[in-house]
Amino acid sequence: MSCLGERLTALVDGELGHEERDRVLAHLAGCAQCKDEVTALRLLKGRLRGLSDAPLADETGGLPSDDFLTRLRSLAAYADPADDSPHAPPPGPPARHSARPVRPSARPVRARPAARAHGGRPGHAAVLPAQPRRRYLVLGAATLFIGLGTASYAAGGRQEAPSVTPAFDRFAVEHALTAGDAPLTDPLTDPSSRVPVAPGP
Amino acid sequence: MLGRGRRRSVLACGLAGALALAAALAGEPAAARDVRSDPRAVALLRAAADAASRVPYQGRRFLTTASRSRSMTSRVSVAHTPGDGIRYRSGTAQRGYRPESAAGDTTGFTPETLALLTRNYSVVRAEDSAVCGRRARVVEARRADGSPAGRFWIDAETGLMLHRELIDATGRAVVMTGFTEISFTEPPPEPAVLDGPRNGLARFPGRGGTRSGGEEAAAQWGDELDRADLDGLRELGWPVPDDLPGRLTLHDARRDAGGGTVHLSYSDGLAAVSVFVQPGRLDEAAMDGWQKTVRRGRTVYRAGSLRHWAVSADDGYVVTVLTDAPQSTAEAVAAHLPREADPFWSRLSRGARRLTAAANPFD
Repeated sequence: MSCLGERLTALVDGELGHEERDRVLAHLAGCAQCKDEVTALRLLKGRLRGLSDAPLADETGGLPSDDFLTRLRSLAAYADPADDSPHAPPPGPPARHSARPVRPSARPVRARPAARAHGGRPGHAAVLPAQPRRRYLVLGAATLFIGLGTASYAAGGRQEAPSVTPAFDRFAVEHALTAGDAPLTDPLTDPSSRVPVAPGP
Repeated sequence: MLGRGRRRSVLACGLAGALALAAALAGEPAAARDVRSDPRAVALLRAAADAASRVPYQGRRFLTTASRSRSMTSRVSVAHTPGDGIRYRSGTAQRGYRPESAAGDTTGFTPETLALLTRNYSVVRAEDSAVCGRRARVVEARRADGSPAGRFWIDAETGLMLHRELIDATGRAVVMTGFTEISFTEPPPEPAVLDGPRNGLARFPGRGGTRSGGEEAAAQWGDELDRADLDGLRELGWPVPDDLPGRLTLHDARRDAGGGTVHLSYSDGLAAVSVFVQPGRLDEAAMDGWQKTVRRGRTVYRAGSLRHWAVSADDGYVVTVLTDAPQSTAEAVAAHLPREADPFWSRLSRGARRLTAAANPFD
């Protein structure tokens, strides 16, 4: 934890008064730890701004990491006293909250600037519909795939085979031709030619 | 470091060499190693096929099939004019014709079946004998245990095969065929019968005479199928195995003119087994008089007088097995033909094709 606590974040957000700001800057000149923390905070802020700008560029979705963004925004919502000041933040890993301490008095709507850029909608409300939309898309694609697959499988069954009677006389002649015998119909199909003889030895 | 690398590469090469040697030894068919044939005996059989198309003759032939309980014989008169084919006439005025190009097959051997014979049996000379009053050289096909499985009598003078027998494992002749009388004279020319144009015989070029027996078959079964055709049929689900129980190997396949039936010829070199496969459902009402049995969960109809028949219907295909060999062979083949369960992906793709065709307005 830095020596200046929340004043560091206030400095980064440009919310300090003139005198207070000078004092903090003077401290930063002599304290490497606080200076590092300010650098890290500025970097984080820059990244957050970058993330919240992305939906402006690509309104219809295609966000690289919706899930990540949503989580970030919901973190901001927890910190927002206007939303749920009477309620304690839900239990979770302490590291999450210590990284972004709740400061009810200083900046009541600080977590929303990105959302405002979209046209005044609350931050989490702006992004949350993207996930169901994506979910519907996946669900729709899966249903279509399974439906087409099932239809193909059902339609791919063998057609009702026609009823056939083997042409035994033709088969007998063809067999005899390949087997080297006289190509005549088998006695099975021509009973008049049967010549029974005595059983062999 | 360098020494170790060299050792490793030597070890790797040695291992690869050993594996290659093992693979080469395993790849050699066992039958080819076990069976030894007398080349002179094989040459006699091969020459008999040549003689069958070279030598003019007329006489009477018989075919007898025997089982434990009874035997049946059919007799026909036969006349061969070299260049004109072989004409048959039975006692019931049935007429048959074998085109000249297939005259050599009367020995029961084609080059393919002769190769199967030498693969599965050892072919050797036996003591000379006499058939139809003529001196004959005798060739035997023996099983691995030395017992005879087939015996052939070949005319010493002309090289024509006069008689042949198939012998079962108990030493009993189960199929006998050959001449009862023979004279080596040119038969009188067949009277020309004008029955319209005879063009379109795809399998054998047509010659003079009436169109009966083998001529019909020649016209009907003209479409010879090669390996790619058979693979195509298998993909469509047709039961077309390369091998059947009893060392029977597919050596010839052809399709009838309508394209609805495929004739598969199997042989182990001695026994000829024909399998006719046609898509459809068996009309059981037509099987009146056949004996109905169940083998391997499959209904098999069987009948037999001279030849042995077995019919099974399954998975949308009717399979008719016909053989001179014992009935048990026919039934075993009918019961063992592979069941082509409709594979999931082929059914799916077939359905997708049908749906696309149905939805395609330009189709």
